[in-house]
Amino acid sequence: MHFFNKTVSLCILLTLVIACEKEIELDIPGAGESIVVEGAIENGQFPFFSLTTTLSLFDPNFSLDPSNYFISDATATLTTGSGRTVDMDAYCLGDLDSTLAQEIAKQFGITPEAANSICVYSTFELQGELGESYSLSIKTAEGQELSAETTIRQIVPVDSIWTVPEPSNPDSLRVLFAQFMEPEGLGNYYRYFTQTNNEPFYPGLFGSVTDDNIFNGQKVIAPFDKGYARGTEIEFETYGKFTIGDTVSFKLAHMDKAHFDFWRTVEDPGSAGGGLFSTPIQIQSNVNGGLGSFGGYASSVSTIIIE
Amino acid sequence: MFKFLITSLGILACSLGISQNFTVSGFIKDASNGEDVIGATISVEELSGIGTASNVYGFYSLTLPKGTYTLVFSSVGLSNSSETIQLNQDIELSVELGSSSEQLQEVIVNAERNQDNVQTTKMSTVEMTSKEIKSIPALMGEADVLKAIQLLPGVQSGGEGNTGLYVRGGGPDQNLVLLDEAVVYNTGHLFGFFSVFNADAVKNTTLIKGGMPAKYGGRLSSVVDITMRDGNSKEFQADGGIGLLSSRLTVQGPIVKDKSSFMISGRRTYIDVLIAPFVKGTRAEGNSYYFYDLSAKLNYTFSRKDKLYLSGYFGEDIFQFSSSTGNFGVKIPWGNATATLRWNHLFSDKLFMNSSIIYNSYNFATEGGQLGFNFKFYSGIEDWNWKTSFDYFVSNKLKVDFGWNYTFHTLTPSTAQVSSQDTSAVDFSTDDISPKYGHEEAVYASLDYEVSKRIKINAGLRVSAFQQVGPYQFIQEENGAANDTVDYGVNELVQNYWGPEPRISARFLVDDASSIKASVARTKQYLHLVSNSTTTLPTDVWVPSSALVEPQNSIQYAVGYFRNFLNDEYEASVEVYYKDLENQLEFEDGYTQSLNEEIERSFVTGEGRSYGLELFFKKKFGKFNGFVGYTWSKTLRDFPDLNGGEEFFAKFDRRHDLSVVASYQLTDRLTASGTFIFATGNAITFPLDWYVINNELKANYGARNNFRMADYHRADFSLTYKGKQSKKLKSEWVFSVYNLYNRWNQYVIFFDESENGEEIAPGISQPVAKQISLFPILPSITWNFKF
Repeated sequence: MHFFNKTVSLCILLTLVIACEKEIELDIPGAGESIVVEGAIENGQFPFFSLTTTLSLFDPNFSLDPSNYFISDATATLTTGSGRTVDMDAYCLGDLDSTLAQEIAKQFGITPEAANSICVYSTFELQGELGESYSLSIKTAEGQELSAETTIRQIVPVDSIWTVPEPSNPDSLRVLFAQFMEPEGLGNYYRYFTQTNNEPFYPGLFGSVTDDNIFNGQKVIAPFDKGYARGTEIEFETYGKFTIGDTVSFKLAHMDKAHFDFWRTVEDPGSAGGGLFSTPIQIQSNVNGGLGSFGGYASSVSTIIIE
Repeated sequence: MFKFLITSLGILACSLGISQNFTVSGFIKDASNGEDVIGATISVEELSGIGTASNVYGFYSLTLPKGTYTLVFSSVGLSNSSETIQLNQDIELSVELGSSSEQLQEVIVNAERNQDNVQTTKMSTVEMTSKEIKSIPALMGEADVLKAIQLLPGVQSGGEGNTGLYVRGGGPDQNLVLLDEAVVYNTGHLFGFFSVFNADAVKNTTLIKGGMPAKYGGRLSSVVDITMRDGNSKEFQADGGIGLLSSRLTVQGPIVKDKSSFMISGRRTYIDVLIAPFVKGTRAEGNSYYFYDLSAKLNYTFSRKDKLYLSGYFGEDIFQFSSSTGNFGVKIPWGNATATLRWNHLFSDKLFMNSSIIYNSYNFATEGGQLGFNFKFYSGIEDWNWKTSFDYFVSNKLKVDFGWNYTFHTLTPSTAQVSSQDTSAVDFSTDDISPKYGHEEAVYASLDYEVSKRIKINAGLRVSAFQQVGPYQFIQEENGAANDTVDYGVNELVQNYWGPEPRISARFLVDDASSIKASVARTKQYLHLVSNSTTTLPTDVWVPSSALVEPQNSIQYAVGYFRNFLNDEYEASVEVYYKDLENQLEFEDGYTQSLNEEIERSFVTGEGRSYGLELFFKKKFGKFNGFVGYTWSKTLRDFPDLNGGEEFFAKFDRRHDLSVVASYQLTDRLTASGTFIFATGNAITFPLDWYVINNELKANYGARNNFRMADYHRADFSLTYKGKQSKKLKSEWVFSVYNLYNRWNQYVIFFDESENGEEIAPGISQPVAKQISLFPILPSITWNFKF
């Protein structure tokens, strides 16, 4: 339906060329600082999360202190369903060996430029396992406690991926297709990512998540737009397409409902302050005592080189 | 049940009748075009306070003791007529009322003594003629029935340029909008900026915002009853207009003089044609948008006793887009269609019947293709309706209405299909979502009885029911996964709802020119529309009451004081109301649309209440006329699953709402009109804090509807200059200015990262609040003609 929302917006803008936009001043008192968790655990990968604070940007009394923004003095443990508990420690990527920092940044889908100013909690003692459940608990230096629970489901294998020429520029641009068999039974949730050459995996820009309502139990063959790091400039002409010579990987991550609901609401324009036709959407969180999400991915990856 | 109703009404009628009474009855028509006059007043000069009014088909019936009487016939905008009758037997007396334009002075002197607003039991009801609607300055010169209604107290618009109606705290789906008895589900062209009703084809509009008579049902908050022109039965006539946005043409005339006539009216916009040269060669080429609508009506009078009407409406908005490379294209049509076949029959000079068969539909579709994939979205609603009503003019003190209504609904929720030219690929479709079918029935009876000179009551009972029937597959869900399904066959009962809807209103006459009225009305609603967007959209989907959704209920109490001044030249009223709403519907927190899932599964239910005070003051005629309407109101919603269970203001809660409408005839040929509107800003949900997810700034919203937009105010102005009025051609120029002082009213407020603001996190800059305003000062010109 993203397509439709875009079309509606385009249509209204087209017909109402006379509409005027201007900045306005608002005086909104902040709600007070909350803590935000953003993290994941994926099969075969180390778990990680970041811990940040909310920002009362419209509160006239709010002053921004970047050193406060990342919380790096909390203690955190991760416990598996089978009873194993490990500590997760804070790493500020700027303080790490640059190769390691870039590797971690890549895992998070963070652009190499942004990596230096980011802190994450992780552990190298445990990697995600299919079918396992995890419970994360965090305690800040001020004594605030947060927790989240998730599972890594079973993978849904990607059968194959291929590309077809983009009709507007068949000489150099390619559209990615993927095929997978969707298991019987409603209640499967997916997020997809693409990786181009040495870049990190980036999720699709307009709706990287879906439920299985529309293709439950079917063989799915569909085109997938190239994923992008958020906040990067995008060229309209090449949006979503790959180039001849690219090495392209497609990752299909199977999720539980809470993890899906988080990304589903994050990706709705309403979660970022709305727009012409969107209403406010409060992001659905699975974190008790805070905002954000810690969720499991059961990922299957397929790679090709475009010739 | 129904037999019992008729029998008991008959007994009641007999017991109230007196043997030496005779009946005078007939039809009231407009002398200039032969159209039925709705709501004309018939008063008896010799008997003060005795009188009646013509019904929707111009029929009246008055039963009086034997004697000699002078009957005075009057109607707004038409000159009075009086007839002296010797009533010693039943008399047929049909009357034609002349146009008041030639006899303007006389009308002012007569002042019609139209005291409907004081004398009848009707309250919270306003009628507007097409003429009045057209005299109000309009956006782009498009006279608009619904926007005229929004100026009345107790009625709010959804926002700038929006034709959605919010009546006394009710939602936009709670208005029963009828066009020649057919329900119109989506009342807006171009995302609601213009209403689907062409003012040229409309004869009369009645708004009922409280004390709904028993003959109306199916919606909680209001009735907007629009009657189309019948067609001139005297002479051939064409009128139309050429405006900036659209052109209109109406043709009407007799088929068989005084027996049969027709009317056909159409309009079409030409934004698409105007824009085309400017977008040629740009990325926007291949995009187009237009809307049109067509109304038509035929009538045939077989005899005094039998008359047939056939009317229809068809309107469509079409948006087309194709990419410059031609590999992607989409077409989005949507619109309403209605058809009404009506039969009027006079069983006696006291018993009038109308029976109608009505069809109506609303459809929305999107069809397109890209890269060998074709997709189609579709949603719609279709009704077949049989409605019969009786008006029984028992005596000059008692009038009884009764009838029934049956509707078969087919509602198709948003369905999607994706098909591929690649045969190895599986086609997707939302086959888990199938249309829903429902039967809706109602029987009603109401009586309007004058207890004494001072007291008159209108008491009615409507009993309504709704059955969801198969084919339907009920899926029992747990945590988003199906764990049981039940299949229902064709017409097999899935769910049944019913309930009584008692209505009562009473009038207490204080003196000749003032009265106090009170009403209580219970209403039920079996079809629902839930929308998350800031405006009414063509994609809005109606859903029926079903195994998943219960009917909405409401009860409204209203009390008012009504007074006329200075020979009825001025009319004033004060009304207060309190309304309780049950089973109100909203989307759950965090709702985003999901394909192939019944949207009902994302509804949460709660309660609502609304109360307010409405003031209305109108100068009815004279060179200077117009009205002032003011509303103070509060509208609240209470949902256990929203806003942490705390009560919150509805989006359209509005503390103050003021409209001033004035018109002044400067010379015989020049008239100036103006409007001024002031309204408290809409309630809106703002973020209190922000946080970063995936390197993007996200909002942490505060309580629901925790802030207000800026107050809305605007003035419009228009000048109408009549050209030379020859017998052959009458024409006029209308110059209008919308938003005279260029106020930038807030349509939407949203948050965006500022382009050169301070960085608060890597690559993320401070957000800013922005407003979008739709219409700056907008002059327009329209040429209207008639020959």
